[in-house]
Amino acid sequence: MGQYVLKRLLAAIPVLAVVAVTAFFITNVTPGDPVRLIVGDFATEAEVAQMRAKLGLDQPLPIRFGLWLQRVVRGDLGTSLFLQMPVTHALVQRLEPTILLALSGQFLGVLLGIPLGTAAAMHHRKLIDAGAIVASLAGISIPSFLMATLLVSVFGVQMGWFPVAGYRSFSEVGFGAVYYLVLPALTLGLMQMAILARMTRSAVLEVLHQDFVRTARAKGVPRTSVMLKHVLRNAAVPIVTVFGLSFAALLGGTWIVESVFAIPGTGSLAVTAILRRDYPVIQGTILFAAGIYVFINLIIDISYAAFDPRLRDR
Amino acid sequence: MTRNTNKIEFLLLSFILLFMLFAPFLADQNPRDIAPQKRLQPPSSQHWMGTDEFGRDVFSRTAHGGRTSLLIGLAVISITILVGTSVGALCGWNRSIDPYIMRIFDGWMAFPEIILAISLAAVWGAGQYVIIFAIAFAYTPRMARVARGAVLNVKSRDFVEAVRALGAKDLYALLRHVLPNSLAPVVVQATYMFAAAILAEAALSFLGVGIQPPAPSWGGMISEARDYIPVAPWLVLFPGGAMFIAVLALNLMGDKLQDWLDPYQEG
Repeated sequence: MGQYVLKRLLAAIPVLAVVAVTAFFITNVTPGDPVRLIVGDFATEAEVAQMRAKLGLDQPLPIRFGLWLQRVVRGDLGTSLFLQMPVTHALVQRLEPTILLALSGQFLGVLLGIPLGTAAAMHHRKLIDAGAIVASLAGISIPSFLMATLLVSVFGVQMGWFPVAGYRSFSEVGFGAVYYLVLPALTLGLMQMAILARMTRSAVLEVLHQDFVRTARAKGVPRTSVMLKHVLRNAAVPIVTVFGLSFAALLGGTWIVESVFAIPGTGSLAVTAILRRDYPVIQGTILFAAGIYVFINLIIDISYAAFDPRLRDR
Repeated sequence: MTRNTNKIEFLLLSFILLFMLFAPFLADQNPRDIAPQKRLQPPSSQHWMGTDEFGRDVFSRTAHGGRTSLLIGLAVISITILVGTSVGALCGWNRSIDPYIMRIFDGWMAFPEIILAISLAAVWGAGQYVIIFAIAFAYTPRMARVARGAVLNVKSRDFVEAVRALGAKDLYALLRHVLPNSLAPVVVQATYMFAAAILAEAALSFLGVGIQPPAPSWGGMISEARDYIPVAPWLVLFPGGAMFIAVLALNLMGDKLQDWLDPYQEG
């Protein structure tokens, strides 16, 4: 077990290295000159040179990468060009809404998606299955910004049940925070539900066709305990994998949903930075998103050992 | 599912393709023509999908926007198929380079696709080619993964061994025998990616880093229409509906192709 965990941890290192290289080059190998963009059209040559030196952009690329990596490893993501604060501060400040939104979205998605996918597989080619297929196909075919726009115009504008946009933290308004969270979380939740239901269905279907399921049924084990003890336990590893993979969609979804609902989280921080070409913040936020994704999938990799005893002995 | 559903997505898809090819001829109004005296008109015989806040014809904008989306989607999957399949096939075939390239892809895929595409498009400056490159860049490693898996699978089959026993050269065996037999999953993946690329382009345009107004795009139209939904719901419903149908048809098609091309997998 310990060896397995160690192996997983070591395997994450090259992944993180590639993540760092990619994040650096995305914002450093650009057409045009970011310095001129920042200082504006009316800056003198001296001002341009000064800003270039201030940003460290007068150094050759490999040296810049080395210096940047040194800082990143120490937890320094640079300073925002517009916010007048370190990127890490900006990220920490805006972490709470993103975590709340992502967790509630993923919670809704799991709560709806996994039972739906399981039910569809159990009743393969029946009405429930067809319904689940249609619902999940529709879910993955609606872009999150359209879903958000529709939910807002129906439940926010027409019905007036929920606020159209905005965010209040729990420390500020107590339980009233939920009120602001419902529509954004529902948007993300429905998208996650669609992805999870689809993948759960095929994972469970695959297990249902295995010989041991037929054997268990043949020797007279009741249907529900076949489902619980044999099918779901064996489908657990692929379902957990799907859970991890779906975080990519979730993180991307927070960027869009936060901007639609004007939620002051890391996603809207990133989108605002993108619209005003705030390079350090863009770099910091994508590095942050990729880091979270690697971390979550690392935890999931390790958790396989809990579901699959064969992995523990390795 | 019944055989009838087979036809539905083909009908839907061919309808959409035809619509996009020929709509610009049907929609004779220029999608950029402004007519302030006709702003926010509901659908009528003259403007089938109504007019927007500048009096522009929504039908024409939806049609032209769809054409752009479709072309971008096509370009994206062409690039991902070409690059992704070549790299993936090489990895599956040549096990000595495989671990290195796969580690690179693992790191590359740690960036959520849409986040990677948005950031690239933002940094490189919006434009049709940048959008195509940004989305293709985000999806290529995933396609390579699929192609690699397929080549690995086919490589171990008996007929490949037979071909090699007959003295086929490495490259010949790969190109002539292994690759053609590995294409099914690539085609399925490409269909889903086509759908995903349309959604990604729409998200980019919605956020303002994709197709720039006044050029029409589905994402951009929905973004502009948000303030007018209570008075002019058609501004969101038509482009949104068109996009939904196009993406749904592609996803349905992907599911169907998967059932078709992979007879071993039940379900």
